[in-house]
Amino acid sequence: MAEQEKKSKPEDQIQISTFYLGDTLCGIDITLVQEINDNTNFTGVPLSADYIRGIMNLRGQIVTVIDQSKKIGFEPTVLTPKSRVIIVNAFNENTGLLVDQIADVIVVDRKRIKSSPSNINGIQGEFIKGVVQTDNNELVALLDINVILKEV
Amino acid sequence: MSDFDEDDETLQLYIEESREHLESIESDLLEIEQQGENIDEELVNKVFRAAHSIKGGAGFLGLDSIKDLGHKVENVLDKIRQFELVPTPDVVSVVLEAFDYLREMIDNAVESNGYDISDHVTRLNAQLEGKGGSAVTAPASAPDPAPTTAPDKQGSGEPFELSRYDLVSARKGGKEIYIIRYDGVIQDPAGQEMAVETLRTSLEGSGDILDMKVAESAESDGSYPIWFLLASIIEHELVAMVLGIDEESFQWIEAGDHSQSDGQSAGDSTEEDDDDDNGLAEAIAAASGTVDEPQPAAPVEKVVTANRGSDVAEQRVTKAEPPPPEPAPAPPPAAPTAAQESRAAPEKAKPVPKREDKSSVSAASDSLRVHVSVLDQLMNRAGELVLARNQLLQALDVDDRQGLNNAGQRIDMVTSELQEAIMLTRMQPVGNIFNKFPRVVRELARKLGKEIELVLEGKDVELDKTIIEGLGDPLTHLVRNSCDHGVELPDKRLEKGKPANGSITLRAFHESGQVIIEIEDDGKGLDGDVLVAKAVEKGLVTEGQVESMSTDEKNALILLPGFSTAEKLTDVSGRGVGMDVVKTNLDKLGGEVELLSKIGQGTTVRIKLPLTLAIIPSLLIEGCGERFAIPQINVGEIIRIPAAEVRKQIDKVGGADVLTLRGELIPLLQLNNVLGIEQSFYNSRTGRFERDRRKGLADERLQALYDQGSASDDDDDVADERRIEAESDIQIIILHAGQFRYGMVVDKVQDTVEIVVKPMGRNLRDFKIYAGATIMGDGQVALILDVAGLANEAELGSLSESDKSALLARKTETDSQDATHHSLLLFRNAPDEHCCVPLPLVERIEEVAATDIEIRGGKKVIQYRGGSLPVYALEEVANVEMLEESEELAVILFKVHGHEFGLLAAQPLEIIQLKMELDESTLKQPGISGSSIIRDETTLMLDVFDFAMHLNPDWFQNTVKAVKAFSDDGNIASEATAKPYILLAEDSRFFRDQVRHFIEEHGYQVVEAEDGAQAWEYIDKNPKMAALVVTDIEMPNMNGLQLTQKIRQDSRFDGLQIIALTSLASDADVKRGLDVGIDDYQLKLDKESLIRSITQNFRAPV
Repeated sequence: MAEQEKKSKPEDQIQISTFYLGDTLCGIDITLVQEINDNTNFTGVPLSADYIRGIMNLRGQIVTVIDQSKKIGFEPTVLTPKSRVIIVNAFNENTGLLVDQIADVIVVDRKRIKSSPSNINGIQGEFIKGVVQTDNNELVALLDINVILKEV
Repeated sequence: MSDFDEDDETLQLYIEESREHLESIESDLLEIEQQGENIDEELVNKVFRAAHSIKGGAGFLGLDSIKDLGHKVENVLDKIRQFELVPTPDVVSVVLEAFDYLREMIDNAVESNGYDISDHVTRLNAQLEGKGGSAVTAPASAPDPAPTTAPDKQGSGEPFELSRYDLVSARKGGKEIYIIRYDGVIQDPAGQEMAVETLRTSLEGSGDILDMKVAESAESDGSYPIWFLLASIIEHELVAMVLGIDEESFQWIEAGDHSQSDGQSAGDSTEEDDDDDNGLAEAIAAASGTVDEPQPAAPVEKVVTANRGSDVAEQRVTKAEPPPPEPAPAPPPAAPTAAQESRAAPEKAKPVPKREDKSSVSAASDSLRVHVSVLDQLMNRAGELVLARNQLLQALDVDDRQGLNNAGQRIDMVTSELQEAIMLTRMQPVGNIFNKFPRVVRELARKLGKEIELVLEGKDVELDKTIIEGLGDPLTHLVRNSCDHGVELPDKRLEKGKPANGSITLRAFHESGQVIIEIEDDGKGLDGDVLVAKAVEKGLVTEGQVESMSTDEKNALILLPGFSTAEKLTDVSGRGVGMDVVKTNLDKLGGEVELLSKIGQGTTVRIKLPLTLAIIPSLLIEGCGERFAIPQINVGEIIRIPAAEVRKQIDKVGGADVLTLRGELIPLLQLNNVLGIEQSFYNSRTGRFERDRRKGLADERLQALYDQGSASDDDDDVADERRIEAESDIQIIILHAGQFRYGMVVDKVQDTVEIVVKPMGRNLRDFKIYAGATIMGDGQVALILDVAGLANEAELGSLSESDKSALLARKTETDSQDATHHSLLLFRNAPDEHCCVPLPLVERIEEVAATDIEIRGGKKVIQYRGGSLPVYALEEVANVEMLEESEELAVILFKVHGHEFGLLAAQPLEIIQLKMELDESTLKQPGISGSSIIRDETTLMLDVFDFAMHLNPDWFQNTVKAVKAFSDDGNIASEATAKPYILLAEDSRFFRDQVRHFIEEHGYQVVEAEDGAQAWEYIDKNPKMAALVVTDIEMPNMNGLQLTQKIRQDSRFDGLQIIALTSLASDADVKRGLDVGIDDYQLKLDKESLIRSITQNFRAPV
């Protein structure tokens, strides 16, 4: 048993794609990510919910872009050259998540994911699946895509 | 009990196919009923075979209730086929109901064994016994509807799954299939791969291992059983010996073993032995389970199942631990035991024509059949596209400009063709929905005690799948309406001198790029007055509104929401919802409804449908920087109101802006307000859209005028700017959808394009104001506006009636009763030379650059729609100044006697409506019919026909010259020709000329008279050849009404039709006219409508 803990098996590990929302480092399971797109040319959808940033053309498919920051209770994202759209597949369709900046992909042990405190840096607890510490001792808030996209 | 869950593909295939059978059965049965005793054997056979397939498949799948009922139905059909039973309506009814029940069970196949079929069985038996003498076939007891328990599925672990294709190929070469179980080989499933491998190798020596499985849980002795699925040529008697295993350790999967119900169908088949090959086929079908699967080889040449190949249909081979008692009941006589025979089964089964009716795909099915030729075409186009791409890439590589052009053109062409071909794959014949109506009508007629014959025309006309699917309900409603409210009871019909049996025609045909569907009945027709009374009673319209309504408009009242005419609610139609629901449904499909009805003669409902919804022509507009697309079908017209005119044309009623358009009030929406974007206007000084501080359009502008003095300088500038610049004119798009008709104020109107409708994400799909999104040429996304949804969002109500009439009264009070209102197109020739032409004469207006005008053979032409269009300047005919020199010119297109030509004019052009008093003498000259003062400017009225005549006299050579009733010296003209003539009485020479030209263009002989008195004198002298009278109402000496009276009092002119020409007729005027005997009213310059009326009413004297 003790042996197993040392050499953590690949299946116990999880790759997390991390990104910044404001100054907060967040992450989602990389298997959800279809691609990361630097096209931030959205068409606004008047009268839609405030966290819907607009719709965009993803190779002929219309994809809704969610302003994650707005959704989890931050200020709306201000577009910069570093802004990216992470295309995730959830609920059988592609949805774009607007982030301020893309960070690394990290590999962590599942066991190191701690259950989330009720609130991290102002993110509502319901959106967070857990927290994990990187090798650089940075805290990554793992976002629960299903909750973020639920009533979207 | 069935082993199948709902996802099972075999079951799905069976269900889909059975539905197809049921589709065609209904109409066939009705036809059989009509034929009565003289049955068409082939037709009965067809139904029989359909029932047979349903039964066979059900037997195979263990759907016993379906099988039993199917069997009973089959018996009855067999009797009919043997001429032992006459298909009376009663018999057919029972059979139809049984089929209905079958359908219900099939829709619910998994639970179908729980259905109680005894009622239907009893009734079917009654038909068999009652009419057919001794019941040869009916068993003493009704088949037990209780589900029979399947004997298998006792094994642990999951069954092996094998596709039919694999199964069939595994059996090739006379191989048999076995499931072999080894116990005690494996102790730990994680390790011990060696033991398994050894076993594998040894088994492979004896046959092909198709699959293997290890149990998930250990047996009592701690070992894990392991199963192999083996195909081997070893005969089943020898397996145990050869492999050295117990008899209990293997199971032989017989060719027909997986069908648990063969026993039963085999028992049944004793009754069917006389069914010759059908019975045989069925036995094979039940045994081998193959007959119900479309064999790839046979039908595929013609038809391909689009979504899944038939060969993936899965068959489950269940592991049964003690093998089922082998020959359970007596094996079916024809059931093959050898594998070879099983393979032969499909061939034998082929005579059962499964694909006969290839068009009948269930309207709501997910799969679609496409003709192979269409797929071939698609493939070819795709190939061409690849070539074009190569061409493009190559051209890009070497930077070859010419090559790029070529590639671009080619891709353009190929794409259109590809689009067309793809569209074809989605097309389905309307027959799919038409076919259900014979039944509907039959049942209704029986219920209502009416005799109704249904005629179906144009079943082959094809429409997009989505439209076909959406069309079912509205059509059912309309057909039901026709049966219930349209066609009268037989005795009533006889009273009216009509044949006792009414007829309803369901017709589909193509017309100008659209599909028209008509539901026509020869019933009592709509009574406009009854509709009016109802509508008024329900407060849907006011009496004031009704007064000015035409018959068609009155009939259209039935389409208003909340309107139902059924005097009493029947269960056939009417629950307070009615035609408006039909209309709403059709609106969703982009369809239009039109009602044509004549009291006592019948009603025709005409539905115009687009061919597809996937690609739609749209108008692109701009609102606050975003682009939006509006489906062209919702767009009525586009109006530009110069900023200075806003006050005149836009009013504020009850807090809402209202536009007055040709005497009609249209509520206005501002797109930006509805969408919550700030109102903006184009400031030409800054070249940007700027925030607009106004909230409404009408009163605030007014205020801006008053406030000008007090407002800050800056504001003044802005206000002035807005009034002067053409770009800041208000753009209004008149939209209609359903009961809504409104104007939408937008920032900018861009262009019309064909767009591809793309669905939006799940989160935005329920948004009622958007119909979807589309991708523009530049890759950007634009939203498609839903016209009805927008109106709802803006809570657009109709104006209160008092407001409306007050406003209308105010608008009209200045106009004298007989004023002649016309739409005129104003344009300029020289800077100060104002001209105009009646708008109805204009075909089109194009903008051209001066450089686009080419001189060819001494004539000016422009490129227009792939051809050359001759263009002329006014000074070429009339003695006017030279056309103003400018880079941008307008070309006004006219069509005279089939020839198109353009008139060059200086921009800007403007359309106005006003009462026109034409001075026909002062400034009259070639090409100019006179002048009028418009907005304090002397404006020349162009005479299009005269203009064309001077330029191209040969265009007019073939037309019959008009005869003047009175020659210039005042003598009455003699009857010039023996041709039938149209007498045209009109005092204004301008109108007389225009109308005369319209009529002559269509090849009629015209006799002109300057007033009623002249007209009368002429017709009095030449009564024989008078074919039609077209008369103005207001004329000196004798007016139109007096003329009509005189004609009507003279028996020589019985049957002669009289069309009155008016400008704006009030209801009272029309009534007065009708009282004296005028047959039709037409607007003076509404060319098309006038010609239609003339064509309809022209009656050559005998």
